[in-house]
This record gives sequence, structure tokens and C-alpha cells, in this order.
Amino acid sequence: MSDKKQSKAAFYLQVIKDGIIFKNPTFIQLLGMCPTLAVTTSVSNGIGMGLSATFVLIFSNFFISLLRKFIPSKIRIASYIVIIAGFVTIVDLIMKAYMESLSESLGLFIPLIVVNCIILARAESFASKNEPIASALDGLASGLGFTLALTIISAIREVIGSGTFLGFNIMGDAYSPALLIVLPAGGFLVLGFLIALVQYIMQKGKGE
Amino acid sequence: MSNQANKSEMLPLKLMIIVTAVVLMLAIVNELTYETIAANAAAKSNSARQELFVDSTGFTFVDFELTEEEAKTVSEIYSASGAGEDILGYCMNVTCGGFGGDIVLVVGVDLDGSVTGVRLISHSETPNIGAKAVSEDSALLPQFAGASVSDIGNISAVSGATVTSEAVKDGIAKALAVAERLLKEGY
Repeated sequence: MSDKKQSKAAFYLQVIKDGIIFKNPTFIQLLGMCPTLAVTTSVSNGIGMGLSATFVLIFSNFFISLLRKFIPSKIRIASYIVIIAGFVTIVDLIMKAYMESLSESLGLFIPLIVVNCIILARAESFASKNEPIASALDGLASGLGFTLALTIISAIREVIGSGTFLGFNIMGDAYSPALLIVLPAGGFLVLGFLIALVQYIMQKGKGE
Repeated sequence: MSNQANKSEMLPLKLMIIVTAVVLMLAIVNELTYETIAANAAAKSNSARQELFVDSTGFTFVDFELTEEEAKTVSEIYSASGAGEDILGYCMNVTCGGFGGDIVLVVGVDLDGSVTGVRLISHSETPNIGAKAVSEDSALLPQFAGASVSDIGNISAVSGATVTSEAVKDGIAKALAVAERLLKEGY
């Protein structure tokens, strides 16, 4: 019995490590590029989007995993999208009604989460094939990996492109912000260089 | 066993079950929340009006007939009552066509037809770009204080958010035109 428990714990640990680092949705799997580029103009937006997406990921993975035996494989994409969109809309309505200030800061991102590829990809590649608790953990880990990536990217873009961090002016008044970095072109540049850096680190790790 | 689960006749039925279940849950949540959401929106408009006329004791809805053209931009005209029966001015909701969708503002107009202030209700501009122009601490909205119709042209747009700024200027100019008509014709 303890062997089974040990291997389950090891499995869960691997799920968490994969989601946050080794199969990071942004830097390794290159998922959800669209919202990543759009949202990472400031650290507060990046963290806000990341945490909202994490919340949705945990529950969408959990529910789709619960229903994995009922949903026929041929209509799985349509079913996942309906379930995810329905769940996100419910979250949006509840936030608008009972958490007004939070809804105002994050309001723009909630509808964007429906079309975030990460949700669909994790449903398809993990939740449809694993039990609910592992799926919820995978949702949590992928979401945290996504949030980590967003935070790094937005930190770079906000400091260089606006001269601020979390709204606080840290570059001083003499600094003339490079507006290009917070515009779409800058997003592509920062993201591209970061992915290259991650690839370099991974290669070095394997080489040694 | 997987063949049976994928039998063509079962697919539409199963999809229908899933969709119906999701729609049912959505309908329940909507039923539970739509009143609260509407009340929140109304409270937000009310507190915005109070900020525009700090000394006002209350706001009364004004039934002023708008032309089709005016109604595209201006809605919800309220008069701000002062002590006794005085009217301090008027508030109106202005809907501007911004970069990413509608921008809804509340504009306060005093009895001379000048702007007392502008408050933001909602928008869907790009965060950090268009949104910078319409946020409360932006360089744009405070410029409208004291402005009359002829001053609108001199208001500087926020650099990097020209479409948003021009939409706001245009909307407020239209609101001031309606206010001018209201003050002249009464209701």
C-alpha cells in the first residue's frame, strides 16, 4: 500500500514540476502566445491574467477529467470548448455581481481566457486521460508556470518600456521609456529572446 | 467498447446533453446575478454623479426628448438638485466609440453650459495604451474641467492614444451640444 502511495506522490510531484518548469506552457510548449503578448505590458496585468487563468485551469481540468468517460472522442473539442466557455462565463458573472473591484481590474482578461490555448491543450492532453485530482494539479501547475512566464516577460517590458515596476517609477525621471517595448513589436522581441535563452539553458543542461 | 461510444447516432445526443447541461447552469447563475449586476452598475453611475456635483442633495431623471442622432451618444440625463428647489446642473451619460469598443462616461454640465467634470464608467481600451487616456489619473479627463464647446478643440490628446482621446473629445462635445439645447429649451 505504501508503495502505491509513494508512486502516486512521485507522479503528482512530476506533474507539478512539469507544469511549472519542464513543460512550461509559454517557454517550452509555446501555448497561449496571443494573450501573452497582449497582456504583458505591465506586471500587474501579467500576474492578474496568470492567476485568473490558473483558477480556470484547475476547475476546467477537474470537470473535464470527471466527464472523460462520458465525452465521446469524436466530439471532444466541441464539448471541451462549451464546458470551458460556460465555466468562464459563470466566473465572470459571479465576479461582476459579488467582487466588483476585482472584476474591474481583471474584467478584460476573463473573456480572453476562453480562447487561451493552454486551457484546451491541457484538457486534451492531460485531463481527458488522467484522474481528476492529478488533472486539477496539472491545471494548477500549468497555470503557475504560465503566471511565472507572464511575470518575467511583463517585468522586462514594463521596466524598459514604461520605466515603472508595478506602477512605481523605478528608472527615475531622466529615463526616456522605450515605448516600442510595450507595443506588439516589442512583445515579439522580448518573448523571442526569452525563448532562445530558455533553449540555450536547456541545451547546456543536457550537454553537461 | 470504444466503437459503441463513438456510434454516430449517439454523438449528437451526447453533445446535446452536454450543451444543455452547461446552458442550464449558465441560466441559473444568470438568474441569480443579473439583478445584483444591474444594481452595481446603477450605484456606480450614482456615485459618479455625486462626485461631479459634490454639493448636490439628489438627482432627478430628466425626460428630455433627444433626436435620433443625439441619442446615439447621450443618454440618462439627470438634474442635480441643490438646497431647496435649485438646480445646480445636469449629468449625462456619454457613449464614445473608442479603439476597442464603447467608452461610457458621465459628464457634469453647469448652468452656463461648461463641463464640471468627467467620470469614467466603463471601457474596453487596450491596457496601458488606450486605457491610460481614460483612467481617472490620465492627462486627458481633467482637461475638460471648466471647458465649454469652443474649448474642446484645444484639449491635447494623450500621446500614443490618439483614437481614444479623439473619441472622448468628440463624445463630450456632443454632450455639451445637447446641454446647450436643454438649457435653452427647458423640458
